[in-house]
Amino acid sequence: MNQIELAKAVGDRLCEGDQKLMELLGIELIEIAPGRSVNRLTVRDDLVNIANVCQGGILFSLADHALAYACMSMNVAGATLNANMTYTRPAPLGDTLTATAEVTFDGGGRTMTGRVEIVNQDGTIIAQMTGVWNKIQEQIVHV
Amino acid sequence: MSDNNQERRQAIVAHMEKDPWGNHLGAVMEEVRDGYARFSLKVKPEFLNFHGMTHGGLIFSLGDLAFAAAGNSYGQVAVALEVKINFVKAGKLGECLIAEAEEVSLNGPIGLFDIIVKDGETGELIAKSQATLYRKRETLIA
Repeated sequence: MNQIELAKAVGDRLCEGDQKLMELLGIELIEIAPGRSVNRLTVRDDLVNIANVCQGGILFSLADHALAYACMSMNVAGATLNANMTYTRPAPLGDTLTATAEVTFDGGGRTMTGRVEIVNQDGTIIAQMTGVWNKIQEQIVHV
Repeated sequence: MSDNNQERRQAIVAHMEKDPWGNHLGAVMEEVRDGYARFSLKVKPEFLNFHGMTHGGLIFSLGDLAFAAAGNSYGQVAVALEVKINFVKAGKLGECLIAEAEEVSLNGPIGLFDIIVKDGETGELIAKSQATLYRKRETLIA
């Protein structure tokens, strides 16, 4: 299995384990490759706040989910240590949001850094996130 | 608090309790006063990730609900500009999480808040955030 095939196998395994969570949040995995993941969500009526725009927590969940998949795409499990989320535009009910995450630094140690950008259907940036990820020495797919 | 203020606070709280995502999760608004809010949430199976730990997005969401309530507690519409969260301990199934948001500074339209999410039983810290908001001119209720 090469790195690209391994990333796809990791994505399949993660989606299986995260099925209920992804249904709750309405997140769909679009693409996974070594150090990268693309995830999509449509702003449903249960994902909005009283202003009828996507909840900040949902935008964070989407970004964190995308970051997690990008960070685990090389078949090493882990968890977010910290994340800095910046909201740039509101996302009203019905918007389709795409979160693209990429690993920005991986020096082979325990931690790595990543960034995520969330855009709407017009390509407008809705939110940006940077984060630090902590690896756990545990494989996701046993190879 | 005068009766008039009390009524206003109740109207603001009633408005915020309509939050669809908060209700969908089952989050409970425990307390709201000027610049402060406390929420609780029981961790359900669908909140867990494939590791069996509470998904960071759900922990963030609970803190964000408290942040929104504290930020909007004066009745002026406030929107989040940025939130920095540190996850310090994994959350687990069945746990009752408590989130508290407290105003640190409110200067013109910009507010700075501290948010903590802890285990409701042991009081152990699960996540800590610092967040900024922008207060608009509009009010939540007439």
